[in-house]
Amino acid sequence: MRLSLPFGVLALTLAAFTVRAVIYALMGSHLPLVFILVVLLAMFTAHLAGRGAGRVAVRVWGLWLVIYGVLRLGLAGLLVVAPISSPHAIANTGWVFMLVSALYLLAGAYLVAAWRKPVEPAVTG
Amino acid sequence: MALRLVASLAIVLFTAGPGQAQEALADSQREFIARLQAATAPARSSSRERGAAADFLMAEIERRGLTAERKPYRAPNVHPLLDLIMPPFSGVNVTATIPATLDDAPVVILGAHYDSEAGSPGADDNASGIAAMLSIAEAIAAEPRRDYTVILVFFDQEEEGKIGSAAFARQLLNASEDIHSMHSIDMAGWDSDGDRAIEIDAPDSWYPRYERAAREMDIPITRVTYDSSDHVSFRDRGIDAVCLGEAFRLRDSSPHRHRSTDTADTLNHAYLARNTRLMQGVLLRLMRGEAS
Repeated sequence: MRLSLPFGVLALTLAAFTVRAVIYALMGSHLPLVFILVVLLAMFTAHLAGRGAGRVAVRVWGLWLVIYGVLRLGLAGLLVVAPISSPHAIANTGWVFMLVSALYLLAGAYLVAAWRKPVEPAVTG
Repeated sequence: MALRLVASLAIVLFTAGPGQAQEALADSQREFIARLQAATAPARSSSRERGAAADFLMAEIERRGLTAERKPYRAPNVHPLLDLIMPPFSGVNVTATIPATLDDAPVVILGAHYDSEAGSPGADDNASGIAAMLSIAEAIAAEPRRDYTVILVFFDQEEEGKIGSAAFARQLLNASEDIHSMHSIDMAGWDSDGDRAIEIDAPDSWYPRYERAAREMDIPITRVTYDSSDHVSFRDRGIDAVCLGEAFRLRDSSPHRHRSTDTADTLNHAYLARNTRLMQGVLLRLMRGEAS
């Protein structure tokens, strides 16, 4: 038995935000931690509520990931077009940043599409 | 090698009169700034350029017989919302400690930022501060009596929003260090009208000492408050923090700031040497425990 692809993608995206939240919390910045805790709490509550609420919650998360990916790509594009002197921004919005942004966007779109109908958490075989 | 360098500089400074000593200091600072500029050209902005600058400063500190240390850090973005999108800042502060001659002495921080704006060699902003702080640290290290431990620190990423100094202040306070005060120089090499004027952001506990030293050296001094330099990272944490610089309010500050023309040959090195001696005098009095 192994995790189904939609659940695997969901778990990966949540894990990515959780890792970021822990890294920033250790530096004294708690906004990413608050954000992911709210997301996890909302998903858990929706799952308990039943009647398709869990599915809606995952699709909203997927939609957020699409917006998030577009925002990141937009930011990277803006830095190319607009003159900005921050070496930190320039160094961290290169092709790796754009690739990761595209992955978030694709993962989000996939989650929105995959959760149109109920999804089994695991597959056997 | 390091001993010979310090000894020869000490001989020059102690056997010469005040005028000659200042001239010698100006020459050595001019030579230092030109070498820093050459080693880090075209700027000290990108991660690679700042890495080269940190290497250069490590070597310069060691050359003066002090032990240099890299203090790497990671720090959140300037705006918390960016923490959801951008990776954190990462950089390296370069430090050296000059121990006190007493036990359990409080710590005095001497600081200047070593990064520059992209494309700018940053001679005034802020190789001038680095040169001044190195000279002051040398003088303090040569003092037989030191009532305070001195930490010399060259901050990374000031131009990004005082990132390096904030990280360093946080590290010190987390280590529960007993910090007495912080003294910094940011842009102190431009005096186009030759009036010698300087500006200083200093708390009530420190301004009279600098004011007196300036009067003794016939330097016009103006007290100002600003938030644009590394001393703010300490002031915001309740530490007495001083920053000395050229006359911004009197509109006599470098027109080359943040430009590719901010080079060593545009600086007024006699002015920088005088400003160095001013801060050095105040801090040597402190080290000797002289009433101020």
